[in-house]
Amino acid sequence: MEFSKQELERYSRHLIIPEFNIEGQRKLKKAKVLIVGTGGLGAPLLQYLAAAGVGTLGLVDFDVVEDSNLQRQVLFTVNDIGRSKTVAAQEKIKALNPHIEVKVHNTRLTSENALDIIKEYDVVADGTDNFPTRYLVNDACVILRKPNVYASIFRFDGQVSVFNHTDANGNTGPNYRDLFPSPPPPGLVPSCAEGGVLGVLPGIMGSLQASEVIKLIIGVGTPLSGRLFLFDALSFKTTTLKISKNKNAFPITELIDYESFCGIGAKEESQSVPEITVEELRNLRDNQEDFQLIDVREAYEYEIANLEGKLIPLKELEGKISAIRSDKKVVVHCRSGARSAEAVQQLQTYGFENVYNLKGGILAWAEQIDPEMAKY
Amino acid sequence: MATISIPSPFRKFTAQEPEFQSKATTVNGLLQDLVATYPDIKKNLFTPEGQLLQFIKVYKGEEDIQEMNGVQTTIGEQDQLTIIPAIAGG
Repeated sequence: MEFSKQELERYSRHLIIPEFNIEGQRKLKKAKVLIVGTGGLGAPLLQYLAAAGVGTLGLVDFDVVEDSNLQRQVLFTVNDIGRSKTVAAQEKIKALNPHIEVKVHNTRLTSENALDIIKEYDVVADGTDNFPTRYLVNDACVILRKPNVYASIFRFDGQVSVFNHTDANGNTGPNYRDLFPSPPPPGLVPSCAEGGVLGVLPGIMGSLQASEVIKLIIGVGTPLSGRLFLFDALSFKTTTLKISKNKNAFPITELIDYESFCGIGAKEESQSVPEITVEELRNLRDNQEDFQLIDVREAYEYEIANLEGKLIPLKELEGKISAIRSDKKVVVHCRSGARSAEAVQQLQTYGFENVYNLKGGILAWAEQIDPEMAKY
Repeated sequence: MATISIPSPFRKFTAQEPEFQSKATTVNGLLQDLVATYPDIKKNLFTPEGQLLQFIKVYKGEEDIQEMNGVQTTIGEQDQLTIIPAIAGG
């Protein structure tokens, strides 16, 4: 595999590293890396792997760029809002390095398409934002015997590891299920959309991922296989822990229904409570009907945007039941409808009968009723 | 006293405290002290049968307690323990 004069000049800082040199650069050019998720982790992954000269980069995402992405997804600009993430990312990456190939998979990774997509690549980098896809990526990599370079983030905390890595002696290291055999129930561990994330954190963790991807491809150093790296940005504490293969683990031989595995359908069913839409809430207001609006979000969320409801954070609800009128209609809302569904269930156990969850929460209000309202 | 770090998704159960200390001599003793101080954390650490949940890891230093004696692993005053939860943000 030969390099043009422009490529040799471009990669010169790699070529003069003795452990890297032109052989390492050749391996990079020959390599195919799939990046699952073009979000916070995907941005640094794509930028550094493209800049470094990985010959083929695949991107999987089905989302479009939103305002709230720009705080951390530094690949995108305000001009990209509303555009397909993969298409916008492809443009940026091609501008950054015209010597590489970028393949776009503008789709959600599913049990039906994962094996077909992943089989074309040498290394997978997992930058997804939900448990079902993380287990899907893991299992597909195990079945196809591909290394899975993993990172995940929440608020100020980050984790990195290299799963399913087979070393020169043919020994394969632990995978994600060896670390966490099964996922937490829905709602226990909030996503970044629900719980927030420090904008720079995916930049740090995604860069570490990119470094591990490059090490795997060129075969230098010791990969983070069998180890879990933790970073706590608040305390600046870093920890590296050992991960072992789980001797009692079931063999992974086929892909399953990961939404069901993560309990997502069951959650929706169990939270079935009376609902009203934002349109109906507007009508209640316009008709000056007598009802009480309860906002079960936190005070800091109320400051971002509110519907002038009475603020009673969910965790304080039980102690403040007496502040809620049981003799009139009660509408409860939160950001997207999940916490308020829980609140409605709690109120029902206290005998409230005329109580409704606002479907889609204040986000739906901002989307459908008041476009001036900030979405967060 | 042994110290256990509380991961940020669980700090809502510990009044935002990032660490907890205990004079217990086993991991189980420490976790029971933690649960006694912060009862809301119990259902996020243990199954109803009292087993550690599968999306939780507890480490003593760099080692997974499951690779030692599980929750019966002994701990000393200088030991640093860590609760690792599964997180999925990206």
